[in-house]
Amino acid sequence: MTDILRIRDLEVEFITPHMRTKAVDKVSFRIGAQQTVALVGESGSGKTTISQAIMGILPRSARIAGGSIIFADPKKPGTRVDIAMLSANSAEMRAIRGGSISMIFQEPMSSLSPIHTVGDQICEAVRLHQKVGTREARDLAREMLELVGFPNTKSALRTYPFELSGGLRQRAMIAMALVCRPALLVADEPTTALDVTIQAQTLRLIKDLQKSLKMSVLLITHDLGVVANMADHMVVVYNGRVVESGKTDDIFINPGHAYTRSLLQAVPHFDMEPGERLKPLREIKPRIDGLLTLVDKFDRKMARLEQHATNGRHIDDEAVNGDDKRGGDSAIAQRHPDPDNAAIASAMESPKPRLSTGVRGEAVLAVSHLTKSFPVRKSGWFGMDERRIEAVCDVSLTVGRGECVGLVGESGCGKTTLSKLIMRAMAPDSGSILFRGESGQMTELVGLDEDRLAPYRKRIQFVFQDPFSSLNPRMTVQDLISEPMLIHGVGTSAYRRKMVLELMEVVGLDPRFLNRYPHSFSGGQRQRIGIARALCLRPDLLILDEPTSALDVSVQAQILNLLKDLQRDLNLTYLFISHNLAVIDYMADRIAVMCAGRIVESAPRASLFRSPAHPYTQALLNAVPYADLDHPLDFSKIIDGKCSDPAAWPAPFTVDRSVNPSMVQLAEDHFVRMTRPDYQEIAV
Amino acid sequence: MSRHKPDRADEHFVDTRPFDPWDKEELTPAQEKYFQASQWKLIWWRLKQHRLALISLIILVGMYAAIFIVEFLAPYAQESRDSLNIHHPPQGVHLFDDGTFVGPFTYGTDFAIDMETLKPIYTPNPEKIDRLRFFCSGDPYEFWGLFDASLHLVCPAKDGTLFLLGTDRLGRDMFSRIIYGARISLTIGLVGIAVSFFLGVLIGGAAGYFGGWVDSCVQRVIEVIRSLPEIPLWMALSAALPVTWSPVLIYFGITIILGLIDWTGLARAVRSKFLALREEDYALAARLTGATPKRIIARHLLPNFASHLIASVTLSIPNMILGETALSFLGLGLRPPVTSWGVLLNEAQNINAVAVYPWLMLPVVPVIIVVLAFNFLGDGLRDAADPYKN
Repeated sequence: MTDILRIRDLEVEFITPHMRTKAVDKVSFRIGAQQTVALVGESGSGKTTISQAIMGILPRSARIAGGSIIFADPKKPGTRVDIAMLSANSAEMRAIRGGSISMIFQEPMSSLSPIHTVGDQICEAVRLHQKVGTREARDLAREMLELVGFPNTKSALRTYPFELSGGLRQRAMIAMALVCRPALLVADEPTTALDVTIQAQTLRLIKDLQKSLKMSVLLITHDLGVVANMADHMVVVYNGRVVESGKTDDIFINPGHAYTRSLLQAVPHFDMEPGERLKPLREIKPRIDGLLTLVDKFDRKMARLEQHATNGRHIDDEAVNGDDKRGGDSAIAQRHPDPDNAAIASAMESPKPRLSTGVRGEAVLAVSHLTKSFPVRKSGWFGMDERRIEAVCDVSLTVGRGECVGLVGESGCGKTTLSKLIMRAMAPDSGSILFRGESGQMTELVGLDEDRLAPYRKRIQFVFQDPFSSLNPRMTVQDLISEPMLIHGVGTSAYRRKMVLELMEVVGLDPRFLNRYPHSFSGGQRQRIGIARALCLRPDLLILDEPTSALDVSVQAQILNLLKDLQRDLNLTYLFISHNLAVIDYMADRIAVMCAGRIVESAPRASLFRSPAHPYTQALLNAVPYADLDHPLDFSKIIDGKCSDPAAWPAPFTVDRSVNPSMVQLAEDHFVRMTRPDYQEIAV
Repeated sequence: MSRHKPDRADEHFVDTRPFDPWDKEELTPAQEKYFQASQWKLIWWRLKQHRLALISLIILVGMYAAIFIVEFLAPYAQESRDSLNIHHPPQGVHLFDDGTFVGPFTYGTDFAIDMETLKPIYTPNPEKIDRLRFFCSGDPYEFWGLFDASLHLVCPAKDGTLFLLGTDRLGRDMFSRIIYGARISLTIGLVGIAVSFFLGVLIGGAAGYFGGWVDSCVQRVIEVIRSLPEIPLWMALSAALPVTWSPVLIYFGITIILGLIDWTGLARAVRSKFLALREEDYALAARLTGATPKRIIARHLLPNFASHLIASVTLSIPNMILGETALSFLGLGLRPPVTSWGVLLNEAQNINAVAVYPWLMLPVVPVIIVVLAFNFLGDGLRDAADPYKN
């Protein structure tokens, strides 16, 4: 077997005014004919830079400092080209790029031009590299679209990218990349932005095409599940260096490098024992030892500080520090009886006071029959004819204290809208949201104005998906974390300063970072700042909207473990929203599966994965790639098409204009949306 | 340690070098400095790399510093007339006379009249060496109208002349008048900008924040204002200023007129930035924490586009300066005895005068320099305004 690509000692440098960094440091690997090689690493490891070097599309600030990239095109036997020596705009490089080596990108929408039809874009790729006429190019394009599984190729040529669904867009992009029958396909995170079901379809497509077109694939990914299912060989990069490479089987069975091992242990999987923890690469050590007493101190300190503040007396730092020295002394707690603490202490049968008050298990949040629709298009005179799309439809959900309820669903299923409805970032069309406030009574949040919502805003906090856009870049960490306290007028500035310092330790950040700005932090660190900010008001309920989907697996494991510890130690209640079934499985006690605005199945974690009843849940579970060689994806079970279309679900589950089934109880705590007259319908 | 290279693709290669997952988190001092830097520091570092913007900044700072001491810098007083030297051409400053070093001096000139065209002819007289004096006592002036003084940075020799840029039809030194004009021309932009900044932020902010019909109304008004031809509008507005007003009042009237017309561009910039930032996650995060609109605007939205505002303000100052120049050139803006670059150019309206005495056009040069400098600086600021974007 001959190699198609041989990379030897490749070095790429980035030159910026502030520093000169080596992004790729003596990387060597090879790709054999018709092989799939996976390049695995976390963000910033240099894997994308390697792919850019191969394609000759390095950014201007980067340059190849050494090494070679030898490409042997099987279409021109005997020729060898060193891509590292070619200039990016030379005719030779342009012939290789797109002709012999093609690339597909993460984001199909932004990789296709919105103002040209799919047909035009594929034809352009053909005509750049082959001397063919318009008609021939069109035939080739059609043939290619057929190969990637477009249903109606003739009309597909005339469609614009925005008319296609995410899955079809990805197929169009693959068709465009492969129409010249390249010898090597570089796929940079080809499925990261896709839903699991579409990811599985795309992986199957790449695998099928590889066989029929006899090409090699360089797969760049951070998802070990994808690697286990796709790659023959894998190359693990860390910090610009190859730390391990070899056959996928060898590495999965016998990982040699500490980094590879930690990567494998950081991925949540479905066979985890109850209580088994993920092992992140960099475990953060929050101050668990002193955490409870720390919180206890907060309670007393806060009560006292607030008392002082109301008495109008001046609190100096010394009073706070003086209290610190006596911290942990349980006698203090008795000398300063706090009604809240006393209540929990008796309720919990434990001397340790908890951050959050209340009885474990009682409902904190009860959502029922929540519906929200958005206008999609206004037409007719004065926009009278309004079409509406139902983003959330008849959703009922209860979250008990101390519980983590997982909400899983694919993009566009309405899970983020639901979370925003609960946060009252928008008002629902109908339904009710009951929340247990400080009084211990369930209060209806729907219909409250902003002033009357304020006390509940304190009790419900939100952690955003994108750690980069959710922190104001112009504020220091100190300001960011203390802002919610400032808004609600909690404590004095000394108290707030103290609280921020404690929270920094709670989420495992160095208190010296307090005067830094968000731009200095990595994604994981930023997410921890977001969590600290959400905790500073000591909320009852934390809504976590995909808190780890923007992070690397090893960082994800770190954050998940942190969230688990905090939940346990602070008796927090979570509503955890994610598209990642394995993550939900790791975190949640109960799971609700959401599709097309409806909850289709809800069950305790164990029974949902053991006996999924709804076809959509089954389709989801079948599509998850395991980072485990013993559980390969069963590509035959993956249905092309619309498993997320409620009208296409089989008989008892169908939802359309005429049938609107409600939730039916299958077993204790296991509900499925279906029509079954013989089951008693229950109202949640 | 020699690097092991896998020769067979199948071989299982493991890097044996020591591995510390935490070493990535350690920072070099340079990174540390970068990470502790505030937004303004980052902007400054970015701006420093923009060489043209930096040079422009230095020029502008120099010019604005100079307007505090124009009386001292100008060799003549604003209104001193030398009736013997009407339409005198620019004089060069020399260091050497006949190969011997003398120090800075000018040659005195002999006066004659071309009897055909009646044009004054000044010919340098190599015999008359007028050595310049420095930190000298020259024309008396009132410093900022406060106290009498006569100290100048440079004066002509006693009985000599120093017309670096020539003289006008009354024998006034152009160079001195351009320096005096800078005081008005450079500041009129700032006052005008303050007016337009206030209006732009207020109206644009309201449009962006309230949206709906407020936004629609504001947008339509902006479109109407923008569709009016500028010069007739200026003319109409300045014709509305009573002729009986004192020059100072006229000056303020003109700045307000310029500000009233110029705010539209800024209002649009503010509005669009507002709309974009309102959708950012951190604005939503603040709202969900219970922050009031006032706090969201003041703490989250404004700081995030303050730098963009400064950049657009910098880019619109030249418009103000050009506006004043154009109005005064047309005779509709400032009027003598107030001296601005536009007023000086008003003298150059007569094409004959320009053809015969081209130095009357020289006040154009500082206008060009200032406008270019502001534009380069604004460009640099705009690039540096968002230091988090790569």
